[in-house]
Amino acid sequence: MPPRWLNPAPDRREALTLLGLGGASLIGGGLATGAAAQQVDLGFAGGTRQLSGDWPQKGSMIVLRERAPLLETPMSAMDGEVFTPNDRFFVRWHYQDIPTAVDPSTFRLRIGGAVQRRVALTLADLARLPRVEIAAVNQCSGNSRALFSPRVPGAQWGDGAIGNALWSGVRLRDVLDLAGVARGAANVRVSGLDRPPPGAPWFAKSLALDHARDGEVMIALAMNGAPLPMLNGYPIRLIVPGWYSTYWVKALDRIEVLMGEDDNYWMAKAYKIPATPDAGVQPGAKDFPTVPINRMTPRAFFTNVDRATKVVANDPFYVRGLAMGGASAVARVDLSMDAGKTWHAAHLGPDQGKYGFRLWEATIGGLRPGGFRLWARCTNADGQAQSMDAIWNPGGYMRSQIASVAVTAA
Amino acid sequence: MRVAILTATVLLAGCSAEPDAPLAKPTGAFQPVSITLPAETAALPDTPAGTTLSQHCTACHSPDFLTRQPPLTADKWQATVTKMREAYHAPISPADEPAIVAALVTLQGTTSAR
Repeated sequence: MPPRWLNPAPDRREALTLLGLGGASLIGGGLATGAAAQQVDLGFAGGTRQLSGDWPQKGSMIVLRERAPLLETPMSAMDGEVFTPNDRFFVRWHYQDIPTAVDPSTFRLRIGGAVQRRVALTLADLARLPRVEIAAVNQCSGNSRALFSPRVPGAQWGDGAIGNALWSGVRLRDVLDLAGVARGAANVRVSGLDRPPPGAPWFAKSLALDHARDGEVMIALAMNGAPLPMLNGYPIRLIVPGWYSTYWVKALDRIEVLMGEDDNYWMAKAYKIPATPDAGVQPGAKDFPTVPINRMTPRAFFTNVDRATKVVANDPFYVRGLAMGGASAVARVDLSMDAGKTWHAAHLGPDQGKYGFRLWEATIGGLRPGGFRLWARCTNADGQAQSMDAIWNPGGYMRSQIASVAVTAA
Repeated sequence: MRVAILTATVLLAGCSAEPDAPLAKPTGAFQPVSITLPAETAALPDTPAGTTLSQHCTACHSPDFLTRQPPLTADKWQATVTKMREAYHAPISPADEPAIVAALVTLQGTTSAR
């Protein structure tokens, strides 16, 4: 029996009706919306950021770094949207020499290394392979890094280095088969059209051969039914469902099959996490065993209310957000108003793929005047749930603590 | 995963009363694309620290990457500068590092948190 404060929205139609009520009783503190908003406060020291509509093929984005571009998606742009619009999808490049022009007639995807025959594929060659489609969340390894405590250096993302799209393309396995993987090969290394400064290591990432050939890892030729924006990897990028974005190499143009381990900097040194169950260590810890970052973990986000929300006392209000299961599907999203002592199920929107976002929503009513805190916790189909406790690691990776918002009823 | 095999789509389209309902758009849609990135707006202050950092840091990235870091100790800045030199081959010599670290600490002390 749910408590009086929570009415899981039973269906979409009722939820939309209640959204009108909820919207009316929100009296400020909401997320910045619309083109008029020039600034956004991401809720941490130094988190006041400019919004800019100046980036090519992009709408209003939070500019974290101009060169190489780091553009964050405002959470308001994801509100009610299981699929993040292409023109609001976050952008993250490592090196400043990024592709700004692509001629599809001369573009080639080259496959070499431990293969039976090296091949150079045109986009038309790729388009002739069996077509697959998958909804999958693309999340930066360092998403929410700025919320780490103590703070760590690096790109100071809020929660918006994340997006979900319907990716359409071809299986990496089918592409590898055109070259014929050599017997005994171990890893598949991928890289794109971006270039390092002189002497710096090429940005390249590797997957174990079995993973690369699992039939889920794919090369996207389209995103939400349209060509990829240049800043998101036009013409093609790798899609690694359930894994962090660092593996989703943009403007993919090289595949190299390796007989052994990849000792390149970007696999051997960068994007390493503590080899602990939750990727956390004591703040300040050093010299612990590490592994390459890999599968994502469950998360739930609020999208229609800010971290500090004001509501009208004794009036119902509507909250919603998005959840992801990480390496498996979203099983449930639960809400708590007593710091996790009791949890109550939110209503889930349609399942549009185990690796994608799933909308959650609830109507919360009758709060007496005062201050409250509302928590949202995602549990995935493997039974893995978010924790109330934050992890810490020096890279600022894999933050997935249960999100909460302060609610003041007056 | 939903799987749509193109040949099947074509066959369906050929005999369907609604030929405009393909599962996935074929990729004849690739067009030459070029973009122009916006002019850089982030700038370092016209101070000795700003000048030092302009010389040593901003050839490879815009200055907002410095100014948006959380408060870091000199030791943390030192580790970052060393990483830039060793891992990313930033064109700085070890002898330059003390001045760069000092400039970063000064910059953080003088710019309001953004």
